[in-house]
Amino acid sequence: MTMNVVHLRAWGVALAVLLGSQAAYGQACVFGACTAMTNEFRTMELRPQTIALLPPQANLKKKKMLMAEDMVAESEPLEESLAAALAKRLGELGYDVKIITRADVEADPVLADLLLTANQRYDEEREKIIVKFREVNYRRYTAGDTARLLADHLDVDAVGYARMEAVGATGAAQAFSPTGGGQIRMDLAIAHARTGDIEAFFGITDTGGMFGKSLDGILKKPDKHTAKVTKKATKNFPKADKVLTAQKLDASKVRTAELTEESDAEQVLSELEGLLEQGGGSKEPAPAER
Amino acid sequence: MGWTPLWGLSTAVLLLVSSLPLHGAAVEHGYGPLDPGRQAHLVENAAELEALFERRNLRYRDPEVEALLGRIVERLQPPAPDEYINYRIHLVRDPSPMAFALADGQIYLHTGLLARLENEAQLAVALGHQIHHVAAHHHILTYRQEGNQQAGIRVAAGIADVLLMNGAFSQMAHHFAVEAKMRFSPAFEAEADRSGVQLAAAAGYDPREACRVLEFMLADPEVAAPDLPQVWATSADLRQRFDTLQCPENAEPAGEDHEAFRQLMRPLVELTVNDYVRADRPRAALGLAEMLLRRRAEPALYIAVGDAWQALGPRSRAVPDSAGEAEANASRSAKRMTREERVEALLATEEGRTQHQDNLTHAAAAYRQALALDEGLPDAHRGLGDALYATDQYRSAARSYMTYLRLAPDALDKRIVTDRLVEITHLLRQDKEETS
Repeated sequence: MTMNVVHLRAWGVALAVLLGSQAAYGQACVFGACTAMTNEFRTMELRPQTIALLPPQANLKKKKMLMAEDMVAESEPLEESLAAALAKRLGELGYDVKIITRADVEADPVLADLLLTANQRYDEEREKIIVKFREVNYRRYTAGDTARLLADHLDVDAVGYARMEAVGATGAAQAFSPTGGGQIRMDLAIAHARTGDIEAFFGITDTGGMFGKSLDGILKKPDKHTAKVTKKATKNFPKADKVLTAQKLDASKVRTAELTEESDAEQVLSELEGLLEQGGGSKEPAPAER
Repeated sequence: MGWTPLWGLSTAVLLLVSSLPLHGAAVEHGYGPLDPGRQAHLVENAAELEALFERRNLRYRDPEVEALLGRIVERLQPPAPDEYINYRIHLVRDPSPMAFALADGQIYLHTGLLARLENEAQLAVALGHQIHHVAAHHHILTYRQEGNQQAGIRVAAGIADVLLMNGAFSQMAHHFAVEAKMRFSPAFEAEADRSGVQLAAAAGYDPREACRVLEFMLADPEVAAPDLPQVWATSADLRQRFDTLQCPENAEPAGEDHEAFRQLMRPLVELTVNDYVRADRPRAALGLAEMLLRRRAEPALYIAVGDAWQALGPRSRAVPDSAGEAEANASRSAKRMTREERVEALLATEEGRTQHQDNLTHAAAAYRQALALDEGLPDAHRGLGDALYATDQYRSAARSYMTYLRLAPDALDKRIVTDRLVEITHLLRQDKEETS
């Protein structure tokens, strides 16, 4: 009897662990492709037309038999290839893409400041997105005002954050490492200028087949590898539609009270002056729903 | 019975033996040359990291501060016993009070460290400390001491952390820096403290300022309860270092260049408080802003204090352990929650709502104090507008926002503020319709 209970408990625990890991597997963006987008992005109410692609951040690691070491200098070509691959891909989908280069950043101190804080804020969110990427669908993640300010400064509808983590295995590691060869993880998030929220997230982990990604391959042909993972990651990135996006944008009222792209700040101030004068010190209106 | 003393004795012997090569190397080499040998990668990696910091836009530029740093280094006459050592002083934009060096002579000072210093002598002491780490080859010796395997595992772990964090500059800087210099032993830190003071004294700086620097570290909430590993705090016990230097309690600053120095560092101070606020570390922001405000009552510092109070949101000022249960719970699950979720969770409690109101009241008071000193400060109006808006005082908030936009018509956040005004306009319109 006791044995049966113990057995039952053990099976119960095993089942719980299995279900838990399955649930975690489905939620986390760690294997294969992962795509998530808010309803407004999907229906074009908050689909951007112009996207500023922020300088991608790539980390390259050399995987040896037992240890791994960072390849700092070699990660730079990967970043450049990734920016080019993403711009090409989004361009093919009909978006107007503005690549933000290091030269742009160096020439504009305001941009440098905004970019740094926007990246920091996004990275804080990305840690959580990776664990539960599907919750992008429910508008759970935001880069807040950092994304809005950056997009305004760059005069675009949205900003795109790209990250890549590449592990290139040496020949010995590919053949003998108990954990297999290298792989490339890449993801792209889109934050809209009007909300600052992460409206869409596209990621991929490309394990590179039976032997994994080789370091030589990544180093010799970064363009080929980045183009491949970019295409896989953005497989479900919806096409741009200038006309429909503009129509939806006009009609939408998501989170922000009203469109301000066209609204003249002076006009707002003048109406508000009138309202304040009329109300002059009267009681405050009921709080807004936030 | 006899086991403990015997074990203690054998441990002591082992420690002594294991420390011999390290100690011997330090004495043997001093500031003499040292072939990095199998640790040449430490020098090579350092050069690559310099490029990475540049590429990731982590460096902070201020020609005047950099010129001052150049002058101090020249005055300190740092020993460069090897060809691969070439001193370069860089500023890193990070609010934590930290500095670190790499094996090839790069010295990084965090903006947060400079923001806290009072005078040039303190800066000289901090630089002297890092110069000693480089000149005495502490990176290479530590690596040798720890053994390649252990260091390799640590480096791999550090890289894994970096990859998981992916890019958050402070984490990355910490991990790269910490792994590159590998957390020096307390003995090395104490040695660097002493030598840093000696270098500064030899250059004509007041050596007592070292104690003031350590005092700031001890008083800093980020060091007392750091969110991130702090080299200053974890490499050796600060209190121990304070005692090793035989510092008197509450040492008085002795420098004469306070005013000019503070003026020079003022942009860094504001930046540091803002960076803490942006990084959602408002307690550190508030602690720093108030510390600086005690030194000098400036409108910009009142604004910084207001921003910090506002950023606290529904959190208490005290650290979570001593704060309410709701915040302690929120803090425990903070890793899994977004900023907005943490705030929502706290606002769902009575304690959190009360705290929020209190913090906003403090914030509004700070902004008003700034405006009392100078009513033409746009940021004070903007901050006041936010605090009033958050407490549902829409009419007053609107007036503050409108003043802000008039004073700063080209503000970067013009659209965000205009959106807020549009929202208030809606509310007032609705209110008017309902009243009529």
